[in-house]
Amino acid sequence: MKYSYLYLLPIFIIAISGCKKDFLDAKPNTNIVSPTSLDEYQAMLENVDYLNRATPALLQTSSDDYVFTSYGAWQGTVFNAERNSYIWAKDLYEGQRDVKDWNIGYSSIFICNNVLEGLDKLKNTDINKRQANNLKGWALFMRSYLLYDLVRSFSPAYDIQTSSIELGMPIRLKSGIDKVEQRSSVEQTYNQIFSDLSQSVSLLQPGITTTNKERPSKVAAMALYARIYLSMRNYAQAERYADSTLNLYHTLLDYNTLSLTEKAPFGLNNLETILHTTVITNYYNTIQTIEAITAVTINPELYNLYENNDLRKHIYFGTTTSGRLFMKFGYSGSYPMPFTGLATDEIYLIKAECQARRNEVQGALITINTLLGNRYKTGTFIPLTAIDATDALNKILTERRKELIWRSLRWTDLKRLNKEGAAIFLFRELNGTRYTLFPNDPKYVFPIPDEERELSGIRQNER
Amino acid sequence: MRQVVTKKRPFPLGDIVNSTEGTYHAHYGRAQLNYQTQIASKNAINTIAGYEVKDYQSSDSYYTLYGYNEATATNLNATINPLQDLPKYYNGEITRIPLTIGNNGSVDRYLSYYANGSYAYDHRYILSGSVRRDESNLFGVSSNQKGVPLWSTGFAWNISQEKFYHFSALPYLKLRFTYGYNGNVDKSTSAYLTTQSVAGGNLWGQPILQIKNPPNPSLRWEKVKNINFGLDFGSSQNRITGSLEYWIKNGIDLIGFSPIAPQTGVSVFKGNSADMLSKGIDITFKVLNLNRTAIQWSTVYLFNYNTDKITSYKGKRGGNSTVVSGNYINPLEGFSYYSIFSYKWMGLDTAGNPQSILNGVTSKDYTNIRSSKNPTELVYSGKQTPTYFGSVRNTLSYKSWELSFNITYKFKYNFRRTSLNNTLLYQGNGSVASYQQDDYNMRWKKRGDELTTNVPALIYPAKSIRDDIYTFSDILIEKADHIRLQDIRIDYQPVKNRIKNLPFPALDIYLYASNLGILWKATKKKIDPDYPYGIPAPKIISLGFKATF
Repeated sequence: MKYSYLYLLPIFIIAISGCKKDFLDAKPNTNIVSPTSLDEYQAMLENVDYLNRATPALLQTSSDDYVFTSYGAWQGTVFNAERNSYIWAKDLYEGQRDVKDWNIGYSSIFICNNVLEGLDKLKNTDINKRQANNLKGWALFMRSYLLYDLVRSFSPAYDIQTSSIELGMPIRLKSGIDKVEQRSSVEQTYNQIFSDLSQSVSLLQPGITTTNKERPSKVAAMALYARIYLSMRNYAQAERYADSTLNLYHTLLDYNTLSLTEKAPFGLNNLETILHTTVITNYYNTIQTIEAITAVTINPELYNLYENNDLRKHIYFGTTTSGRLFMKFGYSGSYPMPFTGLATDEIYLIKAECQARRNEVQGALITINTLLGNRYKTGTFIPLTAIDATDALNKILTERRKELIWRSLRWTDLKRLNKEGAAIFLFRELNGTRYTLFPNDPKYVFPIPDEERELSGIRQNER
Repeated sequence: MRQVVTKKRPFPLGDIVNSTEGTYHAHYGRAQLNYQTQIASKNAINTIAGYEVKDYQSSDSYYTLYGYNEATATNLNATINPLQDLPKYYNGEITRIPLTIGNNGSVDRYLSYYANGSYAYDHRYILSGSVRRDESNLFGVSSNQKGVPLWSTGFAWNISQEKFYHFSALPYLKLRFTYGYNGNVDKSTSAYLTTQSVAGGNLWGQPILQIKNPPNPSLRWEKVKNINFGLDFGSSQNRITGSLEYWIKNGIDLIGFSPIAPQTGVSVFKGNSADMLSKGIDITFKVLNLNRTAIQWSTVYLFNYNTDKITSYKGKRGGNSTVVSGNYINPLEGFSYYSIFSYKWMGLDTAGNPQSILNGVTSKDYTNIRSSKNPTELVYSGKQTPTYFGSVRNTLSYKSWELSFNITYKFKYNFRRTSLNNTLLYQGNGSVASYQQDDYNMRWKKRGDELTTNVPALIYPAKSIRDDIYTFSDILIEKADHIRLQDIRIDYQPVKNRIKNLPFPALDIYLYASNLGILWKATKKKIDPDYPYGIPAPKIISLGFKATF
């Protein structure tokens, strides 16, 4: 009787030892993945909220594209930096933590680094080589794109004379979070940007995915080259890459085909877009392109530059019932955050400017008029003419200002043009106080966020 | 001119059905061998060895049906284009028809092996030991790291059983000692990169994986070394019984959150971040003050003392603002994990602005006061958990009546009270933020007020860093020490036959009241120190009636 159940013991032992291995290998949750496959790495890059929709906002809030409608509206902004960037205050953040311009930029670079390391570990020979290459190119391209957005926010404009000694960005190429990088020089940062970008060119898919423009392509890589070289005042290279871009893709939207009244005149995958990116979502509300944002309006000086037959005057801007001008949805479809991506209009403007700068006046005018011909009411466009290269350049720069409004490009242009000696002074009026931003003022460079400085000890920008 | 208007219905006409189904399974099994033996009457051996399996599984599935027709149980989901952008009426933003279809499952599994054994000699000496290993389906961990070993060993000495022991006032006396290790692995963290899929994917319908856990190759178990000394005693007829315990816990590689430079891609990181040493004394006394047949009165005294200290912190230390706002995430070595640190209050300036100290001088450079990494400029404002605490429960019974009440006490700890905070006030809308701002009337209003008040002037727009200096300054620290009447219970249990014609064999009527209020507190403020930021626990009075048939 005493031993009658003992025969059960071996059965029990077999039962538990047999299932033990699999038993503890079960995933705690079905939606947790430790990525190892190409599709999983792709899914990490498809995280558009980080990679595509988190480009810096301060570039736009600091710019002269807009003005606050009243002192009260300015006082009422949610974030300190939103308010302080408008008057280019010395202490931009005033203790504001989690500065997304910096944090999300690096979070997205972290995603790219993890993908790149994961792809390197894949030794399997029968993986889809084309997909693997495209993903590697994608991660490299985005790392380069994001680092450029950081460096143009937190470092001075590239200057061949001084960039080897000026402070650039911490360069992060590994996913390990236990190591902190100090700031590289501006030159080293640009070298890294170009190193990633040049590697990505041969890996990326050649054409634009017309149904999903948040994916980069070789066209986007060429366009990014053109954008960066222009901001570095390397006009020869900028023109070269603008040409390479347009050789691959040069479609312009005829604005006559667009609705003048719709709030969202452009589609998210509109024909001009090469790569779709936007400013950080749900962050600085004042720069959102929706009618409901009553705090700001278009800089009247800028608005007055548009002629009445210029369709942009009606397609870019709307007027509320109270008569306030507001920015309608732009190249981001009906997504309210400003478009910051790459599009053919910007490339035409780069090309035209570079042509004018090397005294190729006729060529420059042809390029700019090709763009503008698509912007005026049919039959009303009078092509631009110029008496000399300087005249052409000035007109092209004015067109650049008008065309690329609200795209986070103005601030970078101001830094660059002042380096060229343009001597552009910015002014703001608030409650009887006049604020002035002088050309080449150190306040053109945003300060490193407090959290970053406290935890990594990297050097602050002098402002 | 005739205009043709075509009506479009992106949402098909009809009902919308949201359905969620969930299942949950729990399986549990245990095999255990017990072995007891007595050798030569004086040696007692007692052992247990066992194995335990637990398996909890849940799964959910959910879907939405549009254009649902109840009569025919049909839906029009097939007519929906979930990737089509549709304008919202009120702000012109876009939205899409949410097609929530999916399922989700989770599995929690545990395996445990354990063995305990004790050997007693002559009821005087008891040697014991235990070993156990708990394993679970930790994610992203190789199988040999899925478990945590734990062992302890102990020795007990029944002094009162010794022949030389003749102390008649204390007929029961026992000494205990245990020593052991246990460990812990945090299920939410992993050594490998882990990602989580985002329901619905991105705008283009592509699946998304979001990083949940950065790779942490150096992740280790938490280990805690425990040392325990105990003394149990009882006086004759158990008039006084009790125990005295002294414990030391040495935590090594404790897992916690620590801030990390955002350039790494994450700003808070969970990993092995600190070592901590804690010690304490627990005393329990039960005294039978009065023991007659009709009337009895007993008192139970509980007393606890504890102290802890961070012996090493491996995370990065942030600026002083992260130390004052939550020492938990950024502990300072040599201080308790539960320490409160504050900015030194240097009064208001002549415009009603708060001032603290920076590099030894009075300052309003709020940004740099907050960023300073010199913790000596902060004031240590004590602990936020009590150093001494305990209770005294008295129980009186007289015939069918019993009365018991419990008085609890907590001493030597502090809390930070709320005061006027511009930022929260403007966001307030009469909610939580504003009722905690009763210093509003005492705020600085005109020059000279700074001599009589510490409450800063209101400014607009609010400056959160200016608020912070005041909110986290040492003048808002209050002593939390207090004594509380925790509860009272009155029982009436009539003995059968005392009441004629009682239809029940047993009856119990009781009145129980809890959270009765504070008997004494150190702070003069009208704040319950246990609830410095919220509404105190309400008084609860219940009347009960229990009958057995």
